[in-house]
Amino acid sequence: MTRREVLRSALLAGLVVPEVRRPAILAEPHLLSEESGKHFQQMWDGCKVVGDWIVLPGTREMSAARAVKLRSRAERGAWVILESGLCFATELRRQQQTRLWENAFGLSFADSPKVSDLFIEYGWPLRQIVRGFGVCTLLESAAGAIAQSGGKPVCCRRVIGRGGIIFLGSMLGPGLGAGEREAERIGMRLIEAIARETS
Amino acid sequence: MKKAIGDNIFPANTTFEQGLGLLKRAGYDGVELWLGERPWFQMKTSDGEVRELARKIRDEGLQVSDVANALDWDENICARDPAVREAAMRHIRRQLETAQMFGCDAILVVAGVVKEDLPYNEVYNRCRDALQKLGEDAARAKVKIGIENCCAEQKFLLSPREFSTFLDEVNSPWVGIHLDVGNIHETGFAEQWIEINGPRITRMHMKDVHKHRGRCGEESVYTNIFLGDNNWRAIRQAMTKVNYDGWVIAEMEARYKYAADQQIFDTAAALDRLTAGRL
Repeated sequence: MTRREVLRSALLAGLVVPEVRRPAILAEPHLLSEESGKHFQQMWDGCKVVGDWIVLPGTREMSAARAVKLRSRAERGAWVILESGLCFATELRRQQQTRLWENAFGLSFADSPKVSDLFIEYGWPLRQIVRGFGVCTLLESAAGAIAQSGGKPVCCRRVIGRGGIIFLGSMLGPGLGAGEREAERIGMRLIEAIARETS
Repeated sequence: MKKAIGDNIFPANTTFEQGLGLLKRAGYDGVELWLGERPWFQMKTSDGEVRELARKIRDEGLQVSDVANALDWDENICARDPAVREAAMRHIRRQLETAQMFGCDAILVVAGVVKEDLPYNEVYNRCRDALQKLGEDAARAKVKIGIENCCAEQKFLLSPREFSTFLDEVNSPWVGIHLDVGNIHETGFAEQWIEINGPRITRMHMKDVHKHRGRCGEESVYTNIFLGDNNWRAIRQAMTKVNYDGWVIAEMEARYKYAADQQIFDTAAALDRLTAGRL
């Protein structure tokens, strides 16, 4: 029996209480990231999801060193929510960051950004329409896609080692604390679904 | 009550000094200065140049009623783009600084512009958060921030009660409402806005409105005081009811085809009748 199977049986038998940990929210020093990070934090305050979570809100300045560390954490069981903040970045910055994310997390991005439709359609973990956020960071491949904008994949999940990554190509955070019920619903259900799958 | 009008009404090709002279002759007590509108008062205008403007205003025997800005429509604190939001914070902080230099205690800000792709809830939260920060700056400067109700253009804070609730959430005695009685078109009655927001009114903009027109083409909804559909007697009574005794500032569209300066004189006379209550 593996360690995970032992733990799962212990959990089912009520012998172990799962650890509720706060996510590490790694906001960048700009308004877009800080705003989104604050709202992700508020969402987490209202739930009891277990596991090792790292949230990168409105990201547009990730270093190569941080990407390597995140990859390593994911391989050891963490789930990384990478929210693209490239909506207002220069084309050079967009190319540099998406290349980094491709190499580090095995994502695949479309050549050009796209002004999103007003709404994003999530298909997993539930069908839900939420507000888009201006220019999307579009994915090239539909593999693992969980949301689309105008028929193009814009959000995905990907398993990496014992953990994985949820990539959000259209910002969700600003809607989380702004009374957007549907954004709150998809945000909560996303982390609950991942937590359930990996517990 | 003191009366003022904006420097954006100065006829074309008028210098700052000539404009001030015109206002003085028409009987105004002060001038509302619009940051970013006319060449003499821009973001690049230095502190020294601002002090020179202040000297000219003093020399003419006028005061600055408040510092408004013409920049919020392009650089708003509700913008999704953080660079635009930071620019908005900068120009509002510059308004606070220059208000101190001009010796006045109020500025005007248009907070929040709801658009098809910039939804109401986001705008509301960003404006509240930004104004909580700016309220601290305003307290240090001892200059009040008056949020203007541009309801129809902004598609934001559309009722007097919602505006009051919004100010409750901002929760700063240094952030109030710069109430424009001409901006309440088909969504309400100016006198009710005055009653509900009374103690929080920092300044009042005066103009009239053709409520039946709607907004189409060149046919403006705005018009000179007493020519439109505002209930001026009720507005004046509401001002008395809430003890408003501050500045009344005409904000007019320059619509005179001939003798543009005459609009400044006619408006001064209308403001005198209004403040005197001879309606």
